[in-house]
Amino acid sequence: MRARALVGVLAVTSLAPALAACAGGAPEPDPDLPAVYAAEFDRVLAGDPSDLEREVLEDRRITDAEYSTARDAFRQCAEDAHYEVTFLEGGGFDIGPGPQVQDAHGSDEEALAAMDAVVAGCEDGTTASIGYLYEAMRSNPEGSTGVQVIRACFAEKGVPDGDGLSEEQLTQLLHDESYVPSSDAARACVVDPTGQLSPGELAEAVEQARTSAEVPAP
Amino acid sequence: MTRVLLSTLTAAAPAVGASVAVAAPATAVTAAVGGSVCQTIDHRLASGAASSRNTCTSVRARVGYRDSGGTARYVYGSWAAYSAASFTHGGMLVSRAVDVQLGSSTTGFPTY
Repeated sequence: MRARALVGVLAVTSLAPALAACAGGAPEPDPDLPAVYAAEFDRVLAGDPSDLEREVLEDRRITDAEYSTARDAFRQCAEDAHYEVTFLEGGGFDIGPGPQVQDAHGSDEEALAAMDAVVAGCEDGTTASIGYLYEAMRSNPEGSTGVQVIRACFAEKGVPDGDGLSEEQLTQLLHDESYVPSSDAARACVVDPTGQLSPGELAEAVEQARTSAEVPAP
Repeated sequence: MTRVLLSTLTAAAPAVGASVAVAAPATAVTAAVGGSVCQTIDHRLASGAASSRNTCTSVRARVGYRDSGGTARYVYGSWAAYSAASFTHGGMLVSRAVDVQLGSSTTGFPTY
């Protein structure tokens, strides 16, 4: 993929100090790493990782500096393809065509598809696995699944939905399109179980959930 | 990783396959991805592969928009906890339609 040749160069130059510091032996993997993430590190490393991915992921930790290196590699790859990338505060990024390719596509669909290809190609070997794992492990350090966080929210808010059900049974209930949350508190747990939405956003989402439940799917 | 287009972000099953909505340049947008999205998408994926159920740990939202100069662009949110990922990006207005990517140990992490 496009990003991979660049990745090797950046990995060697940017991570050299860190690698030198580790010359005395690789740090021990975090024994508390949730199984879901440990499995993902293993899966990536057992596949066809880039040099950067291998160097960053093999100790099952991703430092801020390593993440920054991966993002730099992604951005450089995108810039080489004449796309401009701006990383956003709190994560994420904005991408758009540079002047050289701004008029290269006849429709929004074509332009977005072209960007899709650039993002996919440039994330491969750079931020695809490293960025995902870095951000996911920080926002969801326990590696909880959706059902687990919804159950915890139900318990915290005294929602009776799913009481006494096993995790598998609760999963089935939540996946059942005929399931209607018993209250707005239940809806809030389903929509935003860890309370990341603002009150206004949550109210809107709950209202949307309530309205949607009243309109059968076509 | 699995990529699915959603038309709505609700606790009820959203329609899958709607396109990313891009509206005229405006002041701001907040696109919120609820936890139920993971469940719902996972459910729909599971219709063909039961093993993909209930494994999603994170989501990230992607919104296509047109900037003030009329150029189509994307903004990607960060990978966020299974629950809600929300982001606000000045200078654009979109509907609640976003493109959501899922992280999952069985459906595969970011491998486009």
